[in-house]
Formats: sequence, C-alpha cells, structure tokens
Amino acid sequence: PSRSESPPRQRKRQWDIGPNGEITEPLRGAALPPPGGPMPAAGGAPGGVGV
Amino acid sequence: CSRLHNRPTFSETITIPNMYVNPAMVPGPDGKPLELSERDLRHHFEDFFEEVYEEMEKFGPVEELNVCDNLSEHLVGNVYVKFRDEEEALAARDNVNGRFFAGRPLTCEFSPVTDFREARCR
Repeated sequence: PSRSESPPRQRKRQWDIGPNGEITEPLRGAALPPPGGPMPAAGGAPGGVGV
Repeated sequence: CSRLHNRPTFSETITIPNMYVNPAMVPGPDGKPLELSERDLRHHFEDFFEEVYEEMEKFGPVEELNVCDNLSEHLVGNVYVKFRDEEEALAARDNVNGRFFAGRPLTCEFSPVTDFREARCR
C-alpha cells in the first residue's frame, strides 16, 4: 500500500529576526553609503612611502 | 581545553558561536525542559540546517556545514561552515557579523579547522 505524503512543513524564517520578533536590518550595512549616493570626501593627504 | 583557541586571520572555514539552540535544552515556563518528541527535535534541527545552508550558499559552494552539539559552553550550538576558498569565507564572515538569527545577535570569526575529522578541542 502506498503511504500518503505529508504536506511540506512551513518553515519560519529566522535570519534577521530581532529579539522582539521584528525584522532587523543587517548592521553591517549601517556604515555604508546608500547605493548611488555621493562618494564620501577623501581624508587627509596620502602619507609617504614607508620603509 | 584551555579555551585559548587559535583565531586565524584568514581561513576557508568560519565559526558562528552558539548559533543553534537545541529546544530540548530550553526551560519551559515551569523551569523544566520542554518535552518534545524526537520527530519535533529532528524537524527543528533540519529547518535550522536548511536555513543556514541556504544563506551560506549565497557566498559560495558550501563544502561542509557542521553544528556542534557539545555541551561545553564555548562549543554548544557552534556552527562551522567550510567554503571552497578564503574569499568566500571572508564574504560570509563580514555578512553574518552583526546580524540577528531567531532573536539573537550573531558574531562570526574564522576557524582554524579545515578537516573536521581531525578537529579536537584540546
């Protein structure tokens, strides 16, 4: 006799779910400029060649 | 184990410490561990494994994915993902660091383990 297939389980996504069940933005992107935004200003003058 | 684990600057393997929480170890409202069937525990682990695998695959082919069931505090639930090369592992490490999984913040670092058959916590 053939066995009936059980329906696939519904998997709840766990990535980027914060402590209160909220969807979180990955923190790694927080310091990055928005896509297409202006380039950040350059810092000081380049240093000399190390020896 | 001295717990002074070697942390390499580069590796093809990353570690996500204490990522997997075995539901059988989580105390219920009465303080006792929840009574879950073996089937429920297996499904819980399979769902976890699949979800981690799918996310890690975005950075490159996953050669090995191991979840530590050791009861030692610094090893329990550790996830080890071995990629094909260091660049893929670097991308995965930088992506995972600071993200949340199931309500808990994740950290990620390189692991010196390249051959899990030889891996020992001394």
